[in-house]
Amino acid sequence: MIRHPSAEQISAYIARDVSSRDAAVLTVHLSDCAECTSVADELRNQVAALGTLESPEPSPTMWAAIDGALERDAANAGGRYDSPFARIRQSWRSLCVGVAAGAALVTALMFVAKPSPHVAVSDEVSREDSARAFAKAVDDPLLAEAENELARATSAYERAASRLRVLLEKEQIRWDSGQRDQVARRLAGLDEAVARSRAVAQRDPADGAGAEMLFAAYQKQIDFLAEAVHQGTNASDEAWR
Amino acid sequence: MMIATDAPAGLGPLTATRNEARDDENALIEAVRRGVPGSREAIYHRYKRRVFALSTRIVGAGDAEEVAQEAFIRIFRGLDRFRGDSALGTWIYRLAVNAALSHRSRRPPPTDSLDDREHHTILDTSGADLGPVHGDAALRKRLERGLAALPVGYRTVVVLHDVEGLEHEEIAQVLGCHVGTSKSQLHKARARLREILAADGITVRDLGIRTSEAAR
Repeated sequence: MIRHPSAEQISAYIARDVSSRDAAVLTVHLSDCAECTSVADELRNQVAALGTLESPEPSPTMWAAIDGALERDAANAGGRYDSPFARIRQSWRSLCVGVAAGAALVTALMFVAKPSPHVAVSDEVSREDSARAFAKAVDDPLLAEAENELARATSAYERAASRLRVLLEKEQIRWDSGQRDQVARRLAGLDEAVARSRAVAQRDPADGAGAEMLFAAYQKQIDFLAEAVHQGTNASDEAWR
Repeated sequence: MMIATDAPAGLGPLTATRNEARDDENALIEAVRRGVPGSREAIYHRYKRRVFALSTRIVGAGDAEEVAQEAFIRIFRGLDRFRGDSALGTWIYRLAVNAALSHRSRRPPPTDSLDDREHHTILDTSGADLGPVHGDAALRKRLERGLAALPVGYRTVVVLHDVEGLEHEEIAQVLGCHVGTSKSQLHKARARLREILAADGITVRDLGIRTSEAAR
């Protein structure tokens, strides 16, 4: 009876992972055995076919999740991590400094423009002076830069949220109506928080706390959207709260 | 500093290409260490598909993203300690495989339904019943299904060698084993996969036709 080599031995043979002595024996056997030649062909084709498998693409939110984790790492270690989100926050800090500087300038100009006791001026004149001082302050390049930073930061957050909403809509097609309602309710709450914080920040732009509150609201909204897109229907209860 | 984000030419057969890839990798690592903005993201984009694909094939699509994230977090946490003893890609594969295998050990699939579970999580196998294979996409589905049915040790070696194209020396570094072990595991795995594919109705003709089409 002919003793055929195993598929494992044939695989090693075609990969040249056998000794020259074994290779010689197998060459002779294969030249005369259609069954083993067929096994060798199958293995060769199998390897070639595996080489054509494609690599799936991860979701577009994966980097944001990794970036967030690295940022938290750096914050816990008391270090600094230059993430895009951190850069947005830095813009907010610049804005607060700029707005505070602008407000200080307005106050200083108002103080300088304050009428001396021996000059009779009406309240209207005083208000006009203040308005002029404010207008002058608005012309201040530092304040203008701060305003631009605000616009850029706001627009960056809104763009990110908008992109995530598009992804979420695609993801939600597979959800049941209960899950969609749950997410919609949570998002409505977060949207409202953003709107309220924006109103506070706009009411008193010099108040850094208002800007920080708005930033926190945006961040919460984006974190939730990213989590909802990323986790889909597998999102933990924690994420939905 | 300009950072290239396209796929690296590393792990190729030519030494010159390897050296260029190594220089490029060193520049990228140095950029991360110096905190150059965007350098971590460049590494992420360069390796994301390979890490995600490896995770998908080891743990299944359901957990792949979590594992790939964990792998990248380990990579960036450990990059300062990367000494360059191996290529960056090999080191990244090692961390990705470790993340995937430790994930599996934390959440082992039920042994009685391993095949069913993995068939349905790694791929959308709807309609992929036993029958003739029509088209490359159908063949790839069946190949993925065959891979998913392999024991995880065999599957890891086959994926690293036959799918990802690593050499045995690199696989030995990734898995922390001897080169001989990598070779013997690979040949056992290929033989087992051949049996699985045959049982799933994949013939030598199917494989031959598809691969020759791919080669054209």
